[in-house]
Amino acid sequence: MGHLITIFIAAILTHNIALTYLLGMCPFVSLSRTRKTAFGMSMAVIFVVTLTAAINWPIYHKLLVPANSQLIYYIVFIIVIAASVQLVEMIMERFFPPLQAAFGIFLPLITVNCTVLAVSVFMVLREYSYVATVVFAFGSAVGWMVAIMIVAAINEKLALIGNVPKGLRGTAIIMIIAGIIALAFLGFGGMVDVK
Amino acid sequence: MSFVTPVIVITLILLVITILLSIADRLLVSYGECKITVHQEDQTKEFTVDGGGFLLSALTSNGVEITSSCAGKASCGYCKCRVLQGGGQILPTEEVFMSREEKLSGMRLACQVKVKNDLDIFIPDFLTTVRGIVQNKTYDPKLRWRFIKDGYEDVIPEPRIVKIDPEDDVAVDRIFDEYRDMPGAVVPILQRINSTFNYLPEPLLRQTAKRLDMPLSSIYRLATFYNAFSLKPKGRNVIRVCMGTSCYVKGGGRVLEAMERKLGIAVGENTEDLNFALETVSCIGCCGQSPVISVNDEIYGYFKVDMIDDVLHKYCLGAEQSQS
Repeated sequence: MGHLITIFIAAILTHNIALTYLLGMCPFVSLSRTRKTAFGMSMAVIFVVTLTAAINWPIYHKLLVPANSQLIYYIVFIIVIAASVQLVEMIMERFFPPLQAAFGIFLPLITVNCTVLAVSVFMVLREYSYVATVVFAFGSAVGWMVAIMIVAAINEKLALIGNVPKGLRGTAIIMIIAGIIALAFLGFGGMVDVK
Repeated sequence: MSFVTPVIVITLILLVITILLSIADRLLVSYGECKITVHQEDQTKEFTVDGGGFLLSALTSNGVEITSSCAGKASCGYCKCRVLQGGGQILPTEEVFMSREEKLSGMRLACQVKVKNDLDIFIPDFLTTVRGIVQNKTYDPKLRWRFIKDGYEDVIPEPRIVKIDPEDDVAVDRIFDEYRDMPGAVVPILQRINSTFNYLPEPLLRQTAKRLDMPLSSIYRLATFYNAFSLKPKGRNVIRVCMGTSCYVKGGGRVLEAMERKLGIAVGENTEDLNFALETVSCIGCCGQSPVISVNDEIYGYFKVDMIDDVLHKYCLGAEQSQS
């Protein structure tokens, strides 16, 4: 249990997937203008990352390892992610239209989000157990959400002040904000130790 | 032979996923036949499509013309149409392209609306307006060279320099005679000169100083203080686009921009034939009719960008008649 909590805290703070590994930057930059879209996107990320990690673990350990074909795990993960997102979108659209309207539109964007693939790859590299994988995936996605929500909130305030130099507006200022927040997150470094 | 098993494994996985997705596609995505009723400015059209696709593709495949340049990525925002019935809520991806007014009127992007049930839509005439102008030739092509430089370089009118003729001296004499014994008449004299020549020519300023026995610097002080005076030749017809609060809110900025494009000059400049000068003004006092522009002393309220041609035309004709 202590191990799981360590993994969870590490995934959010010390090994934040957006700020430490700089993964998932594409939606991070484009959707961090307002807190509302940032929240919708991060909800979708939490859902998809946890789901795909939970699907990919058995596929890797029960199918690829026994068949001695670990070298194709990248391709398999990508295919599984794309297919499961597609499937989830169909189900959601048919049976939960309000949910679809709230964050379903972000789902197609997530298929190509590297956070999703990275979490699945990390779980292989770090040799997590099934429960640890799910906890790690959930924690990583929550960490991504924390990062994007901080940046979105700062962005909203910046938009109110509006004195960003012309050459820095848009993507550039987001990268600078993300960089400074990442430096701040370095301060969490000694909190937990995880390999 | 170590690569055989991976190939088999990946083929298997692909097969399973394909089967799964096609089953899901069959069970979940089909919505049966949906009837789409399209209202346009001049016609109404009805057709049925298989549900599940997007409205944009349904429209284009059934011969309804709608503008779109990004082909359904929700990034150009051109495929606006009003969904009267059966469209559902507006999505966050569309909100960026909609004004408050458009959101309330049920405007949607056709590329984001899924056809799940019978739809009743209205396509505004963004496109048909343009087509109508091209077809009916609302613009007189003969007049266009006057304002638009593209492709008509050879017929740009020669820049005209205002010269002081001997006849003008007579006019100047008349002005000074009028104000001969009036004390403090500098400003009225300058006004008269300004209205005669459209600007204050330097020789006349020197003359004024001499005749009134005033230092030239005092005359210069007056001539540069008032906004109505100009030391450089100025267009005969002064177009003032109102940038007051209510005109600005109602699209004064766009009017100004269109005017600049049409005349090929920026604010504060003159056309090369000195027919028009373009200025902004902070208020004309007709906020009820905003957006407002004024040309010379005439005021045009509820101004629209497509009125520019007519208004400019009027003053062009005036100039031609007075010359001939």
